[in-house]
Amino acid sequence: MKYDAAALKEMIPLYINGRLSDSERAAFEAALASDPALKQELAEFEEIAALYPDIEEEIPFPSSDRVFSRVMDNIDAQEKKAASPDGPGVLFEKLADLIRTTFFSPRVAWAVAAVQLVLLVTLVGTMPDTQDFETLSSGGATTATVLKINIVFEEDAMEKDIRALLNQLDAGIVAGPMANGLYVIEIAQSPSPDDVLKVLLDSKFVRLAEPKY
Amino acid sequence: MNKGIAVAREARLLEKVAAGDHAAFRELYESMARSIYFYLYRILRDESLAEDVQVEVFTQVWKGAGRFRGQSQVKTWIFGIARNLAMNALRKHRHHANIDDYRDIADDGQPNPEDADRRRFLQKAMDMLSDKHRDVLDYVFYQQMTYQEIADILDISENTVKTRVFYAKAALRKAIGKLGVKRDEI
Repeated sequence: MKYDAAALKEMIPLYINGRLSDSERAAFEAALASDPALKQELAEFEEIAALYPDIEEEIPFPSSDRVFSRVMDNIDAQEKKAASPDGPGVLFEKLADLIRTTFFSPRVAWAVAAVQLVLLVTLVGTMPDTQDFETLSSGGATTATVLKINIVFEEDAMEKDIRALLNQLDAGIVAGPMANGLYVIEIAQSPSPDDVLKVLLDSKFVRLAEPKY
Repeated sequence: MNKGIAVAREARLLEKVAAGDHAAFRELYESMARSIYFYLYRILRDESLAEDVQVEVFTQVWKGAGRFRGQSQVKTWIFGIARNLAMNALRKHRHHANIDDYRDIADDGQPNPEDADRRRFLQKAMDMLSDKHRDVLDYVFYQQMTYQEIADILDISENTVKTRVFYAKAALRKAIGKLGVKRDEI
């Protein structure tokens, strides 16, 4: 097979690494014998490749045994944590409880209602008599349902996997990542929150997903 | 070892890891730990951070082995995990970095005329490359990956990888030129 100059040039790094097929290598070596520019290019790349043993020598590689035993300890710790009652699922429940108790307790609800009443009285009292009103519907404005979801992706999920999943749902990340890996995603005009959650929870790239209140 | 044999061996090992085989996990770890650590250290430039991320990478390999579907090679899959975790670590630690971490290697003391060894000179020039360019040369010449393998890890096209390799080499030449000017000024 005949290769043009650009294709031969692209082969140089692979030739140095021995990653060319037999036929490619034969074609490359034949071209090399008659092409001084290709030969020069090869020499320059070989010089770069020759740096690597020295670069490697300067890397402070840790003890393999020690790091492996750290890996195993880490696996044990994560497995124990996942099995314990304080695992991530329970953490989410606690977070939801906290939100519910903070924002939906009767005391807070009465306080919010009282503030709203004061605001209403103040605004109505200070409003000029000639004020014209226009409702949202009269201006042709539409209301959009926006669904927000707290989500944690699997740590080995690739960016492209996450992107594909979010594109599938027409969703976008609006916050995160937080220190615990939590993101908030937003989906406009979602027909059914349950369907969206099902897609997310069925995905192998999602560890946790819950509606954000 | 022949690349094809190595690829098949890694795939076999990962299957065993997915079934909970500790010995296979150790074997896979031993075959990849050095190149993964090299990769992490070159990105993170911090011994203990690179080790911490290395621990997390292999933890994820153990936990995720059952989900590996074989769409890529085991090696590129593990490098993908390493890259994601290294980028996360880099983002978390970036605000702790100080100006010393960004010093230009060309300003790292005066070049010594007696230190005119071409290899050392090239290494200094290599340290001046952007992360992106140094990274792609590492993939090619240290990890000995093909353009396609690199494209899989970086999630870019094979053509972009090829272009980047040659841009990296051009940037290296430019860096050598820059160092050369400094040497002439002595």
